Amino acid sequence: MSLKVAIGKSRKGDIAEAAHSCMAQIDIAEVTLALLFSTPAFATQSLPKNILSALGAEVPLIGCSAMGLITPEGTQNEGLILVLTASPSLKASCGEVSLDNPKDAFLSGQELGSHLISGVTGYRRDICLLLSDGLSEKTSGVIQGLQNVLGRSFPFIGAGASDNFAFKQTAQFYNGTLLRKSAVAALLSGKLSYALGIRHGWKPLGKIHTITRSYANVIQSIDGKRAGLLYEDYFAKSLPELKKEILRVNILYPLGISLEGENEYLLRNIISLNDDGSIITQGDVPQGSSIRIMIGTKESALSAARQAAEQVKASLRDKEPSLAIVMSSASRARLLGRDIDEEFKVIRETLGKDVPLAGFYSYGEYAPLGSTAYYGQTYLHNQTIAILGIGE
Amino acid sequence: MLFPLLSQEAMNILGAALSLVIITLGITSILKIRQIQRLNKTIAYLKKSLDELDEQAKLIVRTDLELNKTQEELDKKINGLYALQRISQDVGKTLDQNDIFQRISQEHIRQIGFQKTLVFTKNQQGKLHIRHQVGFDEEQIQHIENKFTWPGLYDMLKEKSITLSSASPSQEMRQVIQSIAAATNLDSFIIAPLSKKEGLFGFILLAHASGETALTVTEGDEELVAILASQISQALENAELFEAVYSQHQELERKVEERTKELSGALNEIKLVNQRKTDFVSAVSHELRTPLTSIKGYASILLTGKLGIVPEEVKQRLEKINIHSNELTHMVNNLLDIARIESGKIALKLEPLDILSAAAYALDLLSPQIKEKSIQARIDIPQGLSPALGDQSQISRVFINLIGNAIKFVPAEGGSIGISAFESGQVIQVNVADNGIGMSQNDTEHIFDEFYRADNAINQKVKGTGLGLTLVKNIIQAHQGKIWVESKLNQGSAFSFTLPRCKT
Repeated sequence: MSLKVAIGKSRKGDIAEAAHSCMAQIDIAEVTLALLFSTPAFATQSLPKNILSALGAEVPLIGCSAMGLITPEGTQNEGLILVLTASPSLKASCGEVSLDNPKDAFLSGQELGSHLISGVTGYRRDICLLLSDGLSEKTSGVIQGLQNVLGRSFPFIGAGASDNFAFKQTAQFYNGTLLRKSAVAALLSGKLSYALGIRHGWKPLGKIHTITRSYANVIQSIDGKRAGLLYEDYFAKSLPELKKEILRVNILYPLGISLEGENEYLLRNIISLNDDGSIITQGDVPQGSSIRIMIGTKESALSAARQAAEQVKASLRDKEPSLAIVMSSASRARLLGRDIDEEFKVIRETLGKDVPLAGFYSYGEYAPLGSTAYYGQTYLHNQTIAILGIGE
Repeated sequence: MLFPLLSQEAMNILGAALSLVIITLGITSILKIRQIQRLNKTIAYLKKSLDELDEQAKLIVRTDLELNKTQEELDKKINGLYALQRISQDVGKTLDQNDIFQRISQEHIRQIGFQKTLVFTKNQQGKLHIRHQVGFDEEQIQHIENKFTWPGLYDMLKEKSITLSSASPSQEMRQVIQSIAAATNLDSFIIAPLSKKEGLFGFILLAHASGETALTVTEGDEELVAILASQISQALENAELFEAVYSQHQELERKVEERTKELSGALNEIKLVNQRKTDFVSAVSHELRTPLTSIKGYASILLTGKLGIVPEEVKQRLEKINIHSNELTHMVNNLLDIARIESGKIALKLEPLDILSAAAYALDLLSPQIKEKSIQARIDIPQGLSPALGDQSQISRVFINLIGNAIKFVPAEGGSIGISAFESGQVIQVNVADNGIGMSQNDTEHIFDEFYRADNAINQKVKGTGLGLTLVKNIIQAHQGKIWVESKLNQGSAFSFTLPRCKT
């Protein structure tokens, strides 16, 4: 059964322009899921509501704010993009959960999982698309909670909503409402085929170090010394100097956790360096892990994007996907700078020039680890490009 | 005995074997120890290599960080320059001052690497107000406008009149920077003066969104904003100049229109007056001719003596009446001709006209007088001269008048008259020159006026109407030609006129 896709966008955040362009490509009555991504300037309280009223139908909608957009024509640093999908074989169940409460993230994840399942009872569940607040530290917990309900090896893909590197607030869209500090998800069911591609391209550099003390996403000591010393030593900079450059260091030189059986290291962004010598990362880092300082270059990032697209192509047995949702780390956008469009071009070249691409630049990507040792369990990644290809 | 059962021989063998084992063990341990030493050495070597590699890795990341920083700065600058180019293109497309600000959009600001902007300009009362903004809401704008303690700050900024950034290390500027930060609630910004020829008239402020501590302004940013400010200033100046020129142009057009109206009104009036004068002269001349003819007729009848013998004295008086009547008739006829030509009542019979024949005809007609004064008359007109377009009888009058005048004013002896003509562009120019008594400058200025007679001895003796040259001028003008005179007292005069060349 074929999947119909309509994509509308506007550089100026013009809702009517995006909606009307979509409506010209698809019958709104058939739409099963709408995805909406918008740069912060246009992510207003009324945006999702206005999108729905411009479409003139109550279609299930999820989405989020983003520092940049990926459209079928290339990347765009301002505007909004709307993706509508329709297929008799596609059924979507959407849900949201707030992360802005003292409630345990794991429980929130479970709650969201149960809600999603209730929307597609009687169907084969295929994949879950998760869009969470990229600034929240609770996302790892939510993923674990979701896995507890949907199954440990159940495939997840998704990414964290972003802002313009202000790290202030992000937005999530759920049907007609704009949410803050929340996670939204769509559980997709039906007979379509899904393919995932995940790669980052960062390479390890220097010695292997061991996390000697950590809990959740706080690393207290590395090789028996205060954790921050690792960066101070490598960059020959004092802690205050490093703090000033934290954004650049975070993007270019994250920590890599070596995972048995995996091709690439699992990356962990440095969110902050504390005065007590501890390092806060975006995702959890288990005590005892072997870590390396990682380095990224434009070339390695682009070849990783190609590999991710090749993964998608291979799992669809070389058939072109009807839609590819691309979630690329904001760090990659920053690393590529003016060459940001190259990543888009590499993906399009690999997947096929007629494959519609849509997506955004994110704070953290969610995707399963491939090797059997991890049972396809989903983890939080950084600096990564995650592609979801949907085929027939 | 330990091994009492064993023979001495066996004991010896055992001893030897034992020794062998001990020796072998010894050798093995020595070898092992050596191997361990070697391995330790390798390990130490590897460890050293690893440490060295790690040091190299450190060097790599440090260099890479610096490279990335430079690259980022470069990217930012290039992006900024592209954005500047786009802004200046957009801004340059309009000559409306308000529109210039409206064209500074969210996307432009972001491309330069900022999220917010404020433009302050002076209003008509000389107070600064926010003219344009991107990235703020109404409430914030109100707050900034209220909170901004402009007078002091403005003076400080005006005095320095330089581009300032929140990252400026200058201690001197700290106070200004802090005041701006406090008033705007922004911590990362650049403010640049907008100035025109007359001096400072406002500021543009570009800022990162609050809380984006990771984004700090750089020197490159300062340069970009300074360029942006100067481009906006330039565009505003252009717009202002355009407005000034435009309004001056409008004013000028209005004045020209007004003056043209006035002039054409005056011209119409003059035409009207002239027409009335011509009509009057024409009517009067006409009315004069009838009684004049009667007077002449009666004088002639009386002179015939048919009405009785006319005494000699009476006869003399009658002849005078006759002569004066003739003069008067001549004058009235001239006046009538002038009036007719002026009012356009005479239709010129324009035809190709051979100037040489026209001049020769006039000379021939006047040959008795020429001979009488022994004047040397010369025609210097080339044979192949293009014909002029003119009315033959009227142009003959022109020649007769001009040659007649020349005859009158040349000296009694050695007088000479020269008639020449040549082509000049689309016209034929004719000159009638003499070596007569000439005229003063005052006379040459008025010689073509009606009833004007130059003040000289000859004119005092010889009677004239003062209408001949006026008639000549009117005839030439009726032919779309020009007439003028060059003359010097006692050296002679040269009258020149032009006639249109007949197009063949």
